[in-house]
Amino acid sequence: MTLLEIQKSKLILPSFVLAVLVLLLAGLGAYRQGRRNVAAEQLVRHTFQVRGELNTTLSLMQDVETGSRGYVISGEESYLEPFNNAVQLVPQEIQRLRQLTADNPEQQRRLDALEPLISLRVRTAEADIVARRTRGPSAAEQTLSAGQGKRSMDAIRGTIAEMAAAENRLLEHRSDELRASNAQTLALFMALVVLLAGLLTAVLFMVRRNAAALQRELELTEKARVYAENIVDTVREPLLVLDAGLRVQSANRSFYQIFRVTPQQTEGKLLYELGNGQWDIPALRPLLAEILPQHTSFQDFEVEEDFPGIGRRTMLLSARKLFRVGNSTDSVLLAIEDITEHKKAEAMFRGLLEAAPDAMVIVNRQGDIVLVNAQVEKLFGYGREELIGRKIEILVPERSRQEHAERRSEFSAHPHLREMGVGLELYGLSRDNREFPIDVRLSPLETAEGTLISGAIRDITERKRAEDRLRKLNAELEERAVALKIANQELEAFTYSVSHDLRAPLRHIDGFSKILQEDFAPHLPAEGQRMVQRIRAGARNAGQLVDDLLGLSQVGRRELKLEVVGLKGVVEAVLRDLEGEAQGRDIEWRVGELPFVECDAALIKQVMANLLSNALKYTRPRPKAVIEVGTRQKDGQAVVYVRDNGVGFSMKYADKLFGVFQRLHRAEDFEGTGVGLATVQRIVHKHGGRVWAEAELDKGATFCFTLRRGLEDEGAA
Amino acid sequence: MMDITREVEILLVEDNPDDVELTQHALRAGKLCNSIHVTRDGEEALDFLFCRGLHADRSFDRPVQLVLLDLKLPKVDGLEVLRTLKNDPRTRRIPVIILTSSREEKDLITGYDLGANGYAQKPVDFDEFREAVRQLGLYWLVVNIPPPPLHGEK
Repeated sequence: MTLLEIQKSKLILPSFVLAVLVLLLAGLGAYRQGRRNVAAEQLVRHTFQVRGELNTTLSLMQDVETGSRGYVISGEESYLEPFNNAVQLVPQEIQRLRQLTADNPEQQRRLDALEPLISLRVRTAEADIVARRTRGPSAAEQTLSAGQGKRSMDAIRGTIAEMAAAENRLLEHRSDELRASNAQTLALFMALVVLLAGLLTAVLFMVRRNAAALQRELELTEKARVYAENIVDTVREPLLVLDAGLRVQSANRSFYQIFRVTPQQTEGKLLYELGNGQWDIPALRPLLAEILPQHTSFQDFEVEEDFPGIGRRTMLLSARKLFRVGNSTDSVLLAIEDITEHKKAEAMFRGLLEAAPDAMVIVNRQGDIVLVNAQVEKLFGYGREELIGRKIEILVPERSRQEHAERRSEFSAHPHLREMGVGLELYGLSRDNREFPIDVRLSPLETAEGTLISGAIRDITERKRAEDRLRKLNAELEERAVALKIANQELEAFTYSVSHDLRAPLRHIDGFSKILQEDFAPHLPAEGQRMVQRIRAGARNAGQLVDDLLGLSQVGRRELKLEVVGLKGVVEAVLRDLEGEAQGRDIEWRVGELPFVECDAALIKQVMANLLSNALKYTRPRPKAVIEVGTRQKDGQAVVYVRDNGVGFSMKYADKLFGVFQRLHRAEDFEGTGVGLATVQRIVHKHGGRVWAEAELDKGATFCFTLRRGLEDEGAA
Repeated sequence: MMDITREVEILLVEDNPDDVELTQHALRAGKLCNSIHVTRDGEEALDFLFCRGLHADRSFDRPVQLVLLDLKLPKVDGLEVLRTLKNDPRTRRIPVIILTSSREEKDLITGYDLGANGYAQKPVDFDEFREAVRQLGLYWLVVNIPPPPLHGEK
């Protein structure tokens, strides 16, 4: 309601009072005018009465005149009857007139004048009658003609007419007065009616305005009520409103939802009788009891009870007196907070904290220790109670405390996650003044009490030691690597020198032997020729051995140059190289489908060359050699094999097959250095593959190999 | 037919006397050795090629037609000789064949990088060696057209 409206509503009462006063005034006026009118009427009646009496008197006097004259003229007694009657009545009339005009001295004076005139006239008439009776009609007529009677009668008439006129004047005057008074009253009435109408209109207007405002106010109040109810219903905390006797007046939606009860089970019931009486808690009773009389309140009263349907819960109760406008009865608002989950979470948090492998310290922004776990007690040797409330610097060595406090302030200003082992070398200080290296992981912890900082502290003494050991080992390893590198370089220099220096004399031996053979043949006996032949063969053998060994060492030192290579092409190239060796022999080459593989092309060619030339070599005794190259699957891996129908070997020597200088055949039967298969194995191993042989003495041999990359994935091309 | 009457001059840079003899033998056998000069170390080889020291009387106008260069040499080694040769405009067009026992990859690579015109390994088998030398001589002295003499350029 606006201020203006309130002011208007204040005008209603005075307006109304004024209207009543006006009405009273009007009533009073009407009453007075009524009274005046009644008086006026009486006066009029009085006037008419006087005039009537005057007329009657005149009429009686005329009866006196005419009666007496009739008798005088006719002598008949019958004329005397009205005469006698009139003579008798006239004095009464006079008397009556005197009474009627007693208040009017003027009329009284006229009556005084009238009375003797009447008496004269009556006496005159009586004298005439007597004269008739005694002296006859003529005497009487003489008397009449004398005119005595006529004169007194005129006088009577005149006086009566005077009196009537006086009365008429009086009446006229009074009528005028009454008219004026009536007009006045009418005017007053009109004025009052207009005023009243105005006032009532104003009142009506104001009342209507007020009623509208009131309506609006009511609507607002209703809205506010609904709003408040909605709020109460929306509040997640269960709320109960209790009356002075602690009976439930109302409960919000949350209450019904959380405690799974219906309004029927709740409203009107005594708080202590709700459910299975779980609210009937001895400590709660006095608290609730004194709220209304003492205007007290309580907050966060913790209750742990079994509640039907929802089990054991922990609740926080808060209550206070509820003031309700327009409701004189006092109520108690009881707010209930279910903190069971919170409690569980807290218990879980504490459990986690205690179970953490690290020492956990939680501090507030001022650096006061708020919480520690058992690991902290163990690590630093303090009891929990000795640490809570103390500055965190108690756990920091003296020399770093100042710096630590500064860093802590910085961190508090901008809390962020700080991982373990970032940058700083930190040390902890135990209760017995022992320092030890630690790693600390900091993270901000948002809580209801503000931002806390949680620190996970780990004793890294062992790790430091391990790191030191590792560092030492690494240093040693590095030394060894250097030594190894030197050794490798020496080895390289050695092989280089071997290739040069060892091959040279062999070459010379063969060269000069050849020259000897050719240029001095005539001087050499056959046996000498044979010896020279043997010298040359030995030199060539040794040369081959040196070359093979160099090849083997080169495989070891070489870095793989991987590319995708079609094995079929490799095999074909090798076969072309072997054409010379194969010349003049009956050989069936069966080259099957072979895959593309990722490998070092030169090395893989050497593998194929060694295997195929071996096959060629060991099939020499066969009239028809059958040499097969192909692929087969084994354990999901593609295996390349080279199979021959040669002399084979006994599997009991299979383990020696790939060793350097290992030979399973005599040099006279099959030449060789015993390096070829060792080279094959080294190359295959270098590719991450595997090589093996399957054979039976005199029944041929099969050499198989895999390469880690490519063989498995690539299909046969 | 081969033109063997053409004047040829081979410089054999080889420290080992056995190798010298065998190589000469092989060249003789190929009937290519009209004029062969042997230097026993790198320094001497450079003196010869750059016409200085003991060989000051030589002229760049008459360069050798082929250098057979061993790698392992006293004083200045073969690769150094090759580098010096190929870095000098007066000598860089002379064909140089590395003739060595080594088949080391790094020697091959360095040799070719420095501008060697060929690389041959001396086989242990003398028959093969002889054949190799014969073919080399045949190619470089007969088939191959040598660069024009330096003065012709100016």
